[in-house]
Amino acid sequence: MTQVNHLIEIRGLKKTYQSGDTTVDAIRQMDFFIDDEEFITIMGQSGSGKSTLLSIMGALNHPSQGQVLVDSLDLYALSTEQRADFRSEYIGFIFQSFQLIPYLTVLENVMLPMAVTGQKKKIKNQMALDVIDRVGLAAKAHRLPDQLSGGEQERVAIARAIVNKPPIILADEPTGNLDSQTAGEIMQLLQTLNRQGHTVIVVTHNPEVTQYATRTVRVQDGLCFV
Amino acid sequence: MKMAYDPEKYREKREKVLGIKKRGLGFGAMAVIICVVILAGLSVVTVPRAVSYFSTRNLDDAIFKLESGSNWPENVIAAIQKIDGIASVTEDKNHTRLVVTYDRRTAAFANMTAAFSKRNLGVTLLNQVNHRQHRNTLENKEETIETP
Repeated sequence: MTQVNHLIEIRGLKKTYQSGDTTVDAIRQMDFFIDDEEFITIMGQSGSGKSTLLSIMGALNHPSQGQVLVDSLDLYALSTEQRADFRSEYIGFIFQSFQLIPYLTVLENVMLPMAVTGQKKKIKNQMALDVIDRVGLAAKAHRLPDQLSGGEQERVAIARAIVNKPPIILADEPTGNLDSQTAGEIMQLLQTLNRQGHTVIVVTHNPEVTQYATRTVRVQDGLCFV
Repeated sequence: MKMAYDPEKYREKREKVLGIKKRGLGFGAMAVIICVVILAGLSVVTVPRAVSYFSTRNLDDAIFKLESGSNWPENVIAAIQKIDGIASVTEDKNHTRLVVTYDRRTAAFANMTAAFSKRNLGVTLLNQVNHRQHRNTLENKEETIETP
């Protein structure tokens, strides 16, 4: 096992996309760390490489070069199954477009990540109801996503992300589709989750979001500035 | 606020990912258990039959009757039991027929008839049959009787 001093360590990271004859350096060189229970915003303009960085940290996207160490696990030295287990155990994802299943209720959407945990249905049901309550949607647990506002759908996405109690929450532009007031409420909710012990990493191009973070990593042209 | 990284905090999760801490039975273990159960079940059926076959394949039964129709004397039965190659000696319920199970590879049958001659016993050989075949015939007879 690799010796580490931080929860997440990014070492010599590079990512190149090949599109026909064109090579795009999404990440040219990145080295930084994130400590346990930090609230980090990764800020950068569109195309700066911040979403690529997030997907690599979430064990979803192989880097061209470098290492991503999370809790001393070298993510891209793990087998495919181990990486899937890593995502299930460590990571809660929140996407800009919520990615809720439209024909499933709030409760069923939140229970989805627990499908592979092997727990009994009654326990899964209770855990899902608990997190739905934590995000303030207890009264709407049996509604379908299109019966909810954008902010409420984002809360469902957050509930789904935290239902397996992951130590790390990765959010890609979580407020991108929300008005400023709702965006503020969502960021406060993420801040609360951070205070409850989750390490929160939010990718954003909105400078207002950084006020909720304990630290900001700026990304520009595939390079990071901590 | 920065928190110091504690490698022990997520040990359980790390062990799950690395496969050190198993989550229930894996497919391989389950497959092995099912195979063992099936093999055990098959062996319960087949092993006794195989053992029985190998232990009786060289045995024959000779069924004798005294010409006089009287009961078999105890000393004759005891003497036959001592002959090399004799597996068992049994009488029928009327004590008139003697069923001697012997190893056909030995001189047991010749020694038996010699023993009868030595005692001047008038003996009739009623049948000489493979031991397993004889046993199956008796078992089938019993089943036929039991079935209404």
